[in-house]
Amino acid sequence: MPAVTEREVVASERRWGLFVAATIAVIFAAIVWSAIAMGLSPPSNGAIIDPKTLHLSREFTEANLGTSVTPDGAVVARIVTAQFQFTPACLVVPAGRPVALRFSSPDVIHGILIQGTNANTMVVPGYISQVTTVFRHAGDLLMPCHEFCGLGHSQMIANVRVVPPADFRPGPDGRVACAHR
Amino acid sequence: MEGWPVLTVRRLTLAHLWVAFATFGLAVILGVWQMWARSPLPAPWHSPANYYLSVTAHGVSMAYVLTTFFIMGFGYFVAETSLQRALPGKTWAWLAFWAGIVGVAMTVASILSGRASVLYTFYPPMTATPWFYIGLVLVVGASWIWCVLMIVAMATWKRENPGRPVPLAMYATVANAVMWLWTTVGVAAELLFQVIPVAFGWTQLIDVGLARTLFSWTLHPIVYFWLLPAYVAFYTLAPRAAGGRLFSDTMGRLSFILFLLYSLPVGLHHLFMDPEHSTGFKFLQMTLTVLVTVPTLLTIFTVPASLEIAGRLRGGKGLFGWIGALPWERPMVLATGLAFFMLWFGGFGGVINMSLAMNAMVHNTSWVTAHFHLIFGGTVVIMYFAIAYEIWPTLQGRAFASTKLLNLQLWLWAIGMMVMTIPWHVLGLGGQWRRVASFNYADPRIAGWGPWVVVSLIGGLILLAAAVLFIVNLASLRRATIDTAPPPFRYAVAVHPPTRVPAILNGFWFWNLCVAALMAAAYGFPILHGLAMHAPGAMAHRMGGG
Amino acid sequence: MTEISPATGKTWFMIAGALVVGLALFAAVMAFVVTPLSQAGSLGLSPWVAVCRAFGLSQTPPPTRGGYLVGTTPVSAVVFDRGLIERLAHADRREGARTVAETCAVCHGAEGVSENPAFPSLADQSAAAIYKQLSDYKTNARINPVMSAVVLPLTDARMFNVAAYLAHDNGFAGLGPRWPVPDPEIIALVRDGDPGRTLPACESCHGVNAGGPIETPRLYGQKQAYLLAQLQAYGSGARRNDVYGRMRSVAQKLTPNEMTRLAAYYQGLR
Repeated sequence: MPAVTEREVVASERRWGLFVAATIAVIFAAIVWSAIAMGLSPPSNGAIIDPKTLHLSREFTEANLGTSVTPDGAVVARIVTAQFQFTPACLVVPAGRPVALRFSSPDVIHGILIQGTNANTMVVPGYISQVTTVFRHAGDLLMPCHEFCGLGHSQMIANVRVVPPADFRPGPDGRVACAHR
Repeated sequence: MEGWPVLTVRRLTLAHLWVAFATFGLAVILGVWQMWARSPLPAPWHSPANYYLSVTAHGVSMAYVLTTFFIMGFGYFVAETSLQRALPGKTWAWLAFWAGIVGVAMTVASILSGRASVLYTFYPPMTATPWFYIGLVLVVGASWIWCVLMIVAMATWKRENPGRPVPLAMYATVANAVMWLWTTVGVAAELLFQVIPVAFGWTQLIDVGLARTLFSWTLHPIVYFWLLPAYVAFYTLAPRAAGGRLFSDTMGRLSFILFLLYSLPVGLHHLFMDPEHSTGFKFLQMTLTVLVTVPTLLTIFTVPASLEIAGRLRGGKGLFGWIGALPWERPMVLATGLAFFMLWFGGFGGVINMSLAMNAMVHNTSWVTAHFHLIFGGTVVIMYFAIAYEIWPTLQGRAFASTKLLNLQLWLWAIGMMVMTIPWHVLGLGGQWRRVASFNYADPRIAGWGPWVVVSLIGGLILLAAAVLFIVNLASLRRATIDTAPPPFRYAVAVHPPTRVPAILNGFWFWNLCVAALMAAAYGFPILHGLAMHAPGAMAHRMGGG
Repeated sequence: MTEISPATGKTWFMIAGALVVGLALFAAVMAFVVTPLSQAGSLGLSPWVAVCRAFGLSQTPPPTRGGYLVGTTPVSAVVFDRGLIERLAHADRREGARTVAETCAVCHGAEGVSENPAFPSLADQSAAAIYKQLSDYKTNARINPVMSAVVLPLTDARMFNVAAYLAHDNGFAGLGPRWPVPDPEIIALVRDGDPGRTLPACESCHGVNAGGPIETPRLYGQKQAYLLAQLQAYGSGARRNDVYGRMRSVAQKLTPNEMTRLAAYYQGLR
């Protein structure tokens, strides 16, 4: 029998228990602080839309997809994620300004991330996913589908073209599209 | 005590473990091929259809077949050896085994037909042939019989031994059985009420948000279902193997209870990036997720403290001298050390994942794949190896002549796991996304990933070598000389063995009430709100023709 | 833990219960009160809305509504929903057979097996695919002078009947696998796609077990000339009834040479 009394066991357990509680409190505080300080808002907008009639919906009909600037100056991009393509497959956004990205799916589950940014959301048929982000630098970023959506999933990749604010020139209808290359 | 001390579950346990490990071996081969397919090197048989078929088979084998069969087999062994009493209801146990086998056969046939490439997480409205899901329901059904048998075994023993504390190994096994019954409610509801009716074509529409919610109910505690046998080994086998004693029996019980409580109401943290759940419930379940680290933190105190006792008994001195004095040549001790090392890495990755803000950086990237391979391969499976090495001599009545090859196998597995997952962590932070059959390495934004993926493929090959050596090690025991009287199987004794424990630490009814309350708080409103919101359904996309 | 009196045993339940409930309450207050209220300002929400939003009872409003959205004709008006699948399943195939004989057989061959390379075979085509094209001709989403005239007198119900009849296994040598054309590059495109052009494999939608879009037609055994003409029409934008432009986008990435060989591959050798 090792020289450990029950009293010692209980005391060391209590010390460790306090240490665990303190660790947990620190982790939790860090997470809460980051959530509040970064104005964190996960894609929880909860808006529903019928995936079966998405192509007939006003917002996600083909002609309304892509980047547009609203009369009050907000930049909104609407993207449909469908097996196995983003529409549009190339998106122009300005650097240094908040951009609201709105996604929906007509068929199965998809998901997106934009490399080098915190833009990341699932796209669940039946819902609109909205994320808002600020692109810091000009350049071409990959926007792949990151959730298994069928056999063509690996080829479902879009391009996000971040342009300097001066080069971001909406047309008279407020819309901006990638130039054909 | 009829039947005991003759081990009456010998064949039952061996049958389960061989099914588990044979499936595991095949799944490792598939995993290596997948890494090859994703690398810049040309891989044979590579096509998207083959890739997703392979990923489905790999996931189903590892997550459902290896784990369920191992846990059932080991559970029967623990029930008999820890309670020192013949297992009641062995006919039911064999029935469950064969139901599970039929289920596995149906599932495998479905996957091989190419009509079930929906991965082990299903992704409705993609829809596989119904036999895929029905096969899995049979496997889960078999595990439910096991759960009942474990609960009955403990209850019978308690009736026969009033007032005595249930041995920790059995208490933990029943905690796992109880947790698993709660866990499977979500996936069973998803399959029976949503997916299978659609798969048969009786209906066409699926509420995808609800399906994801129900699956998330299962998706987190299922990991703890796989993990708890490893913790049983940490608490009840490793201290004994090291030549010491369990530091605290109470701490062990408390850890298993906390796993039961806080692994369940936290599944929404898999859906942080989903649009169908509100920020509040994501936050609530994130907070509860923080609490599920408590039992792990308790364990990384109690188990090293137990090993310290062993190290000091063996003459280890100073702050860290006891570590060197441990008998590392014993597989159970070595595996525990390696598992703790990898648990640290995997756990760190997990803390990042559970943070609502940081999750957006890593969600659905290779970071997550690295995290769960470290937890699953690095902590769960390596302890399954160690448990097999520990109990195989008792099952076969033969002793390992040498532990050299056993330890080599454990080292290979740990090294392979680190070599494979460190690149994945790096690639995940670089934005490498998941579930991809092939990358376009000609793209300059992707080209730099090539060498890392090749390194992880090398890690995969090391893992394959370890898997082969594992099977060889177990099989070699059949040729060893027979021990006329193998020593009876023993579990670690606590420093202060409990003669009585409070009722709250000797049963589960109170904790079941707590789980019910927590689940109602965490999932009640999201599920009811989801049903009331009546989100438009999505049409089934059928793999296997319209 | 050597001896614990029954009294302390009861206290354990009290303490444990209080801890579990207390921690859950703390989590709930943080989730539904503290965090939403501290975020309300930066999100521009009133405290009440912020709390409702935390419960999912209030949606994050879209950035702006209306104004810049244009009203346009959708590329196809067909909606694949439960009703459509059920109408196809319960269609009157005998009536469909009569319509096919009277109306379709002239060009598409008796029983839908075409003799003319310019016209597609229809026997054994997917019912959903046939119905979508008929309906698209009717709404001018797809334009072809002959077909637009042909579908004019057809009611929705008759289009369902035709589609169901042609799709049903009638025992004709309709669409289906043939002897494959030995063209390794094209087989690679069909099976694997081309990551360099983000071109998904043809089979990821058109394969038998693909689980792709519901309206996807079967291609094996189809007329080479017809397939080529459609690929070219998608590529030029002359045909645009593919929802969200998925075939237009694919065709734009293909070379003329690949289009020709793909059409030959899918027709197959007799």
